[in-house]
Amino acid sequence: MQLQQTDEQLIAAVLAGNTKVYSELVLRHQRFVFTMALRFAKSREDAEEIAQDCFVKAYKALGTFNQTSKFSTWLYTITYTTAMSHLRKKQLDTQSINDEENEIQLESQISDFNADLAERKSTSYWLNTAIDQLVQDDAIIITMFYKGEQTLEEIGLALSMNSNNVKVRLHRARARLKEKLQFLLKDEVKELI
Amino acid sequence: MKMTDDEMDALLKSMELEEPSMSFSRNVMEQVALETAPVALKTKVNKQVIYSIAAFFAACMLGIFVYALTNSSFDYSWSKIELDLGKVTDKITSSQFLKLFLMLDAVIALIWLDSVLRRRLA
Repeated sequence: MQLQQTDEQLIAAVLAGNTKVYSELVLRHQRFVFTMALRFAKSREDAEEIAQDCFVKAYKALGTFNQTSKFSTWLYTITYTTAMSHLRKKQLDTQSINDEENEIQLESQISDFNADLAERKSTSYWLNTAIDQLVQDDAIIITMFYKGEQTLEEIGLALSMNSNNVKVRLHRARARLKEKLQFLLKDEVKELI
Repeated sequence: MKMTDDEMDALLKSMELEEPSMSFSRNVMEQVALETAPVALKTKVNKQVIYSIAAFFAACMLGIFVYALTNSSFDYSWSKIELDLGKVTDKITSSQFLKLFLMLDAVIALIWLDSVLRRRLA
């Protein structure tokens, strides 16, 4: 049985000229990068665009990755900055949107809502709804800590924050999330677990 | 009914990640194929080399220290020390030295200001 190569081994292979193995790195991290992008973008199409952009940026800059941190931490830093700049760009764009386009957006939101009805009862739905109501940085910290396997120091590195700051924000975000879940689900909150 | 912290932790750990479309990795690889292949810009620093250089210098310093200790006589008394700080302070407080000192301070302040402005503009 062939052992799974580490991220570092795959990077070394890419830098040595075997660029096809980069797809393995993409497959390994795409779900987390996409989830992180979705916390900013709110639409799957935009999130996919951000996530793709992140992987292309990471590929281009792979030669500068000096391996002082985990590849995932480095990649999530790129994801965070890319998503932030996308969000800023999006905010500027929305100021110039005319009424006609607003109507189209409203219609698509309604159809999205109907499509979502089927999965409304799922744990994932309620959890994501509650996380989406958090401040973006808090949502990212929660996601990185619980699903990104990142330490407080690594999250701090990715978000340009002090690790103590991250710790405080994580604690507060968790408390807020709990409140939001209890508010959304009332007595049904225990059924989620 | 209230949720405990442990239950909240368990719930967050069980959270599922979102899945991008099936064509996601293919799309990325198609875009990547258009880019020039990356090359390592920096050679990875081998920590063992750094540690051995540090150990060599530490051993040198220790050797010199031990050599100095073995070759020195300890019959020294404080009464032999005659300090004349006047000459030193005269040199330090001279106009030329102060100008040089202020100049150096100004350069350090400019370097610091430059780094602060760069960070702010980035």
